[in-house]
Amino acid sequence: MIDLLMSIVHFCASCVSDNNVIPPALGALGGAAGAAGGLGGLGSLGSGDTAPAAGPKDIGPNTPTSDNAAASANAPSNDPLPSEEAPASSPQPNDSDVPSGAASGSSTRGPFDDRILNPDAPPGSKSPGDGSFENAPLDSSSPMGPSKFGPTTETDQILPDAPTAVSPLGGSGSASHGVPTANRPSGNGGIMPHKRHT
Amino acid sequence: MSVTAYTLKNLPDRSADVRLAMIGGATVLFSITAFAAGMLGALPQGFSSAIVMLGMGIALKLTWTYVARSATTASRTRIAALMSNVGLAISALVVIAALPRLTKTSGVGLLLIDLLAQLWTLAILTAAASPMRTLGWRAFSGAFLFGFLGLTGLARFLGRPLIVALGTSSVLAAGIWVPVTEELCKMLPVILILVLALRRAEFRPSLLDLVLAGAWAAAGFAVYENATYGRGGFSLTASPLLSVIFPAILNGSAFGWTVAQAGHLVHTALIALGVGYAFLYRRRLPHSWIVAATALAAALVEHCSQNAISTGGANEIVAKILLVITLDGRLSILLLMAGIACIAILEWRAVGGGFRPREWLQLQPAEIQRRGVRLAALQAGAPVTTARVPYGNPHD
Repeated sequence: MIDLLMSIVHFCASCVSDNNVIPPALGALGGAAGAAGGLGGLGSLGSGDTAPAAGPKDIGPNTPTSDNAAASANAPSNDPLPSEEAPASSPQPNDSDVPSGAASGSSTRGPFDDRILNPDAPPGSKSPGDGSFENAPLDSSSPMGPSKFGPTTETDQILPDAPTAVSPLGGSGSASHGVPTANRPSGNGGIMPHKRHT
Repeated sequence: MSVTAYTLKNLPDRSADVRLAMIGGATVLFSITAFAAGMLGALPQGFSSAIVMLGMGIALKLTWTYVARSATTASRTRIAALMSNVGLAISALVVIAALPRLTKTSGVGLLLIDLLAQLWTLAILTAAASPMRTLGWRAFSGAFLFGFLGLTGLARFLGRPLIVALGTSSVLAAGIWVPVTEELCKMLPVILILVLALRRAEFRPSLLDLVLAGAWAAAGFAVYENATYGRGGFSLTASPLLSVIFPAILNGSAFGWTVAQAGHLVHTALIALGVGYAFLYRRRLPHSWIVAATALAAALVEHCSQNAISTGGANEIVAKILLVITLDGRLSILLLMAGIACIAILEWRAVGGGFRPREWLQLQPAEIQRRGVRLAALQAGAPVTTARVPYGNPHD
């Protein structure tokens, strides 16, 4: 009667006879090999880095090491990567339709961060990657010192490279260190946005 | 000089890789030797198994270490892919070697039919997740083989002692302990991916990646288990509508009621969906743990109740109540389908839909990265906006 009423199977790998299962050692061997195969297929999730596996084609004096390849490889470059070396897990800087939360949620340099680390910066100075140039002190005792790169933005070409607190055109002078400051618009009569004209 | 050439000539990196490769190769050889010695009787079986497990544990750790570095250079990426292929090939060979023993109960034909039924469902799930998924075929194949060979052994290692002690008709052993340990074992690949994902803020996998990983691992588990029992089948009509997607559903009867038996794939996929949602989307939904609890409860109640009923040890009233609660075994399937549909719509809108079959079949690294960044924003709580879909070159 029970057999008629209960004709459902049960899902239990432990109830099977030992004669019908594969030896544990063989299972461990094959299972571990399969797990290793799966691990290798995790791609950028399995690795500790989202950077592309290939950096710029030509390596100059500032060659990225394996540790900083991530940051370096995110730098915009006109140098095309050879296709065979471009796993291209790298996002491109001009992919601008990313929700803002993507960058804000990151604790590291975001993949869309196209700011260039300055390898020639004076010792002790901060990189532009952390935004410090935008908030650089205005006094002449700034550890940044005067620009050694020359003007690089339209605003910089207008502003004199002088450690004045307020420039004649209303700029704060912070951009005169020669580092691009987030491509701020300069068509507003020389008054930089977000800066109070005193 | 290219980065690849430079890195290969970078002595510290290269020597570290060579050292890892040598240790890994030696460990695998040692494990294979121990296994062969056990088979030939030169070593006790238990001792041989312990050595193999230890050796493969070390090999897995080395693989993990190498994979963690795989994104630093192109050569390492290629070597990681090569390692993955070698691992999958070894695992596939082990499956072939194990087939005679597994199929001696009912033959290869039934196993192939059951495999087809599981692959049918996996193909549908994978296709549904294709616009969002960030994991490729290697990860899912590895999960399947790991489920087939490794997780079944682990589940048996945990469950067998109690079965031997209490008997196969024990409700406690077969109806409670075994289902819980089996579900835990099948979730290991999902837990691994989840742990890796939660360590990242700027790149996240799709929740459907977790569902797929769980489903593939559980499918391997189910194929193995069904083969050892000599059961399995493929039917598109056994359970109306549901069998079209899940042809492996078995129709049983208990107390005169028809019971749909979804099996391991559905249970693990549902748990992966619930647990994954609770962790990945906890910033989008307060009390997201309720989702995980619901999924866990549905899958475990189904698994436990069907096991308990099949042993004949379940109280009839309790069993009927459980059957009603689980909609005669259909609750997990319905929850899974509804959950996948909701998540697919949510993530599809965030990632950017569009019918691009080429990318569905062969994921490109750039596309994976694009999806991962968008999914990270979505899971961080960013408002859902329909993403612009780049056509042609995604970076144009």
